[in-house]
Formats: sequence, C-alpha cells, structure tokens
Amino acid sequence: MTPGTMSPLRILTAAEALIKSPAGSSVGLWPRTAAALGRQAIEGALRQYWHLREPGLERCSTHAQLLCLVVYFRDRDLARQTSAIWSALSRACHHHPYELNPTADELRAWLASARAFADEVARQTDKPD
Amino acid sequence: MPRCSRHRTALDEIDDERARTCARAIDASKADAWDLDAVELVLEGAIDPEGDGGLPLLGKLATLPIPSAEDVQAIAGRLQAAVETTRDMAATDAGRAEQIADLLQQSLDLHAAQGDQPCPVCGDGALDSVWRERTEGESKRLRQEAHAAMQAQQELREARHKARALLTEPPPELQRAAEVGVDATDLTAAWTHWIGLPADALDEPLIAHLRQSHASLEEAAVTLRERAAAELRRREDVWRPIARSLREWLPDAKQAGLARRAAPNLRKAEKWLLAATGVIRAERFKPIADRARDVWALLRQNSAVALDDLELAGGSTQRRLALGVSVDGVAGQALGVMSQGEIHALALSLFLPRVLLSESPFGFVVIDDPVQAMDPGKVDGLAHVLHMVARTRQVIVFTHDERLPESIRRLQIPAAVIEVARRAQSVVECRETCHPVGQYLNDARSLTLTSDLPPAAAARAVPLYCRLSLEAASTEVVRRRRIGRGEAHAAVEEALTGARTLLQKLALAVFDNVDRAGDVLPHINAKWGREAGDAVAWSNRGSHDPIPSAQLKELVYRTDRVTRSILSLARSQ
Repeated sequence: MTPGTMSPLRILTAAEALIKSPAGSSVGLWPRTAAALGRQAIEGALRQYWHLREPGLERCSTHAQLLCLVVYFRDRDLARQTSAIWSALSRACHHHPYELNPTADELRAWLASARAFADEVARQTDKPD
Repeated sequence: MPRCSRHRTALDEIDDERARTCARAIDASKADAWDLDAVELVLEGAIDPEGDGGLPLLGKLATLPIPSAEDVQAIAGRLQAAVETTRDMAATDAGRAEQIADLLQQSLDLHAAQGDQPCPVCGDGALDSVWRERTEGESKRLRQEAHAAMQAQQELREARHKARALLTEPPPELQRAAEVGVDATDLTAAWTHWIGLPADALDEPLIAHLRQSHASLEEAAVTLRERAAAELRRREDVWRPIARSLREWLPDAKQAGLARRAAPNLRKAEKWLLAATGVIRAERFKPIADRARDVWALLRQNSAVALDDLELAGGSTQRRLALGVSVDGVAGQALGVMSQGEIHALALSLFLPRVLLSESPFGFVVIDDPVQAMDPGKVDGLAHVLHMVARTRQVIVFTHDERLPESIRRLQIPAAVIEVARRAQSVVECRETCHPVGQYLNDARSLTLTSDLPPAAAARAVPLYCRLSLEAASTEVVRRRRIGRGEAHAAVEEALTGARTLLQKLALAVFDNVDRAGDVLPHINAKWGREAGDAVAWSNRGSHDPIPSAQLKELVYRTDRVTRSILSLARSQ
C-alpha cells in the first residue's frame, strides 16, 4: 500500500461513521460524500486486487476492471454484486434530475456490500494463491 | 314468515271453526311445529259432523225436519174417517151383539143335536128348520156387526195415537239456532203452538189443530231453513278465499317444515364449512403471503416500512386483505405512511406472488409502468424482483422511465429492451436496443477496445463474454422453440438448467437434443464455416496465454456472426 493513502477498509469505516452521526458541517452533503467514499473504497480494493493478480489492470477503466473481475474473482456472485454496487454508488455521487439522495439505509446496505468485497480482497491479498 | 302471519291475521278475523282449527294448527312460530295435516283435513272438508261447531249445527238447521204436510193431512184424514165410522156405529153395542150371537149359536147347536123342539128360552116359539135358516143369518150378521164395531174402535185408537205422535218436541238444534246467528223465534213459537194442544183434547179439536196449525209450522220451518242455508253460504263465501290461499300456501309450508327440521344440521354444516373454508383459505394463502413478504423485502430496498403479515380477513361479501406493517419497527397503518412509490411496490408485492402460483395458467405477466414514483433504490429492487419472476414466467414491462432499463443493464440482468416509437398515423416501430446477446458482445468489445488492458486479462475475459453471448443466443432459441410449441415454462427452464456447458446449450439450440453436444462443432464447421466453429471453440476454452488484440477483436466479430446464425434458427422454424 502506498504510504499516505487510506486502506479501502478504513475509507469504508469513515463513510459509515459519516452516516451514523452526520456532523454539523456535513449537513446535506453526507449522502453524496459517503457514496463517493464507498466508490473510492471499491476502486482501491480493485487496485489492490489487480496489483497482485493481474498487474496493469488497475490502470484500466473501472468498467473494464469490473468486467474482468467476474472472470478472475473466486466468488463470482460477489464480483457481480460489487459491480452493481459500484454503479449505484457512482450514480449517487452525481447529481441526477428528479432523483433524491440515497437514504441512510440504502447507503448502509451499499457500504456493507463494499465492505464484504474489500474484506475478501484483503483476505486474498494477505494470503496470495 | 310474512305469509304465515298474513294467514294468521285472516284466520283470526273470521268466526269459523275451520279457521279456528287452522289457526290453532299454525299457531307455533316455528314451521316444524305446525300441524299441517290438521289444516289439510280441514281443507278437504273433514269436519266433525257431531262436533259442537257452528257448521254441523247450521247444516242441521238448514235441513231441520218437521212432520210433513202429507203425513199430517193423511193422519188427520184417517182420524176423521175413524171418528165418523165410530159415530155411525154408535148404535151398535158390540158386546151385546156378540152375546146374542153366542146365544143364538148355542140354540143352533142344540137344534142340530136334538132336532125340532119348542124354544127352551121363551117356550112359545119352536126351533125348526125355518127358524134355523133365519137364525143362522141373524147370528152371522150379529157377529159381523160386532167385529166391525171392534175394528172401528181399534182404528180410532190407532189414528188418535198417530195424530198425537205428530205433536213432538222440536229437535234440540232449534234451541241452539241463536248460537249461529239464525233467528228461530217464529219457528219456536209455531212449534210451541203445535205441541201446545192439551193432552185431553177430543178428537175433533185434534183434527182441527192438525189441519190448521201445520201450515204456520211449515212456513216458519221453511223460513228457518232458508236462514240457516244463507248463513252457511255466507260463511262459505268468507272461507273460500282463505281456504284457497291456505291450499296454495300448504306445499310451501310443508317445505318450510321439512327445511326447518333440516336447519339445525344445515347450520352445523354451514358453520363447519365456514371454518374449513377459513382453514383452507389460510393454507392456500400462506405461500402467497410468504412470497409477498419476500417480494416486498426485495422491493422495499431500505424503505422504513416492513410488511409483517398478511391475512385474509372478513367473510361472505365483505372480504379484505389485512396488511400488518411496521414503520421503523413500530406497528402502523400501511397506507397512511407509505409513499406513492411504496404503494405501487406493495401492489406489485401482492400481485406477483399470484402470478407465480403454479396453478396460474398464464406463462407470462404484463406490467404497465411499475417504475413510476419509485425512488432509485427501489428500481434496482424491482429489477431484481422481475429477474426472479422471469425465472418461471415471461415478463413484459412497459415503461416510459429510462431508469428500469438502466438498472437492468447495470445489474447485468438478462433482458431484451425494445424501444417502441410511434410515428404519425400510429405506425409503430419496434427496435431492440438491448439484448443479453448484444450486451455480452458489447462487454467483450469494450474490453478489446480498452487500451493497456493487460493481454493476459483480455485473453481470459473476452472469450468469457463471447461465451456468455453464445449461451444467451442458445437460450433464446431454445425458449422460443419449446415455448412456441406449447411446452411448460418450468419444463423449458429445467431443460436449460440441465444443459450446463456451452456445447450442451448449443446442442439444445441446434439439434434440440442436449445429448448431442459432441456433434455441435462438426455441425457448425460444416454449416456455418470453419471460422464459426473456431469462434465457438475459442470462446468455450478461453486462454491463459496472451492473445494479440487484433485476434480478440476478430473473435468478437466472429462470435457476433455465430450468435446471429444461432438466433436465425429460431426464426427459420
């Protein structure tokens, strides 16, 4: 891990804390902020994974990475789910007309999925095949 | 029973023992306690002639007997004749004539025995043949005279007796005439006069009485009979309509009585049936309720509203579905706290489980615009739900909303998206904008176009998406063919799940036979060319070795062509 960057799991912890107790300064901003953090955590975990499994892939577009993840990742369902959650978080990061911010519960569920992925990646990268 | 009470009122209003009997027979409030046999007997005209009712009395009054005029005249005449005969014979002393006749007979006997001789009684005369001849005639005459006188006396006594016998007491009914409203004053007076002759009245006054009084007796009797007959007619006129309506009512009443006796058992049966229906309904509804909760769990996607239980409540004509929901764990009223989108989602949760019942004859479901008013999270949930339904049903969704196709693409749910454009004059154009086959090919293509994708990754990933597109094409063909010829959806899906490998799926698509996987590649090589066969083989195998990017692009291109060939199998059938 490059010094100075947070691990995906720590980023997720920060995002979850943001949902739990929205601080005064983040009023109204926390849903998008938490979504952005969640997306960053998934992308970080992907980087971490490719770094070990297929170096070079981490530099490709996240879409390509997610397409390849289905091929590489042991838990194919988790790979698909991660792909879906990343899309959901990406949408939540951006403003879309007529769409509301995600609710705290929605965000919590998405972040939990992201954590499942980051956990699995951490487990696999600690004990490489 | 209004008809019965109407009869009761009618029966109570008239004074007629038939009405009273019937009223007593149907007095009970319960139909099974009615004595309908008694009513029927009355309607058949069976009334006790010796009963103390008004009708037998009236009947007797209407035919009340009096000594007939002929008898009276005859007897009066006979008495008259006897009286006259007796009077004519008043000179005759029947006793003396008899004694003289006896005396003469003795002297005749003496003469017959001793012959002619002087008369032993007077001594003057002589008993001789002249005397004998004269005396025999005299004796006979005397005897006849005595006999006639006795007969006359006898006849007089008999005639007198007969005449007295005519003066009898009136029948007892006459005294009761007032009970049935018949005025008997005249007849009673006439009758009192009729029998009022003193017992020691002589023959002449008796004859006169018979001759004079009978006319007024008869006149009064005729009047009374007419009155009684009129009263009978009146009662009959009042009774007839009631009898008619009772007769019409009787079959229904009998039915009612039978039904009434059957009612307790029927009520028990109904109660049992209701309970059993409730149990069966709850049992049958349980899978729907369970599934509805599952669907809602998918659809709610973090909604604060939880669906706790569903219950079919109410009975007969007022049935409803009781929805138990809780908001953030607190039980509440469903519709009050739910948003429009949530209500739509709830409606789908209740509707889709019914679609999924194996009893449903429909292999498909059409949903019109389920997305409206849903928040984005729920659109993903809806996509998952539709995906679940699509495992056993063809799902057709109409929507104006771009979010559902977006969600389906994003969640990689296999679906065909068809854009429907309507031109002027309602000319409708359909264009397939997204199909799993094309989507997988797009994914494969986008990977080949990703610059600096590690060749090893490309060599593993691109064939995978090519294979997925081939499988999607095969699945499409198999579904269209088998469902098209009427096979059950479940059977078709089972066949598809049974075909695990690409070659098995292709065997199903090409030969309609999962066991001919080994023949697939030779067949494709022969039919669609070697390049097609290579593309299939390559997609199936993948590669662990890096492959030049140009070759991967070629693979995607060839796979595209093979999928079109496969899809054409469905069209050519």
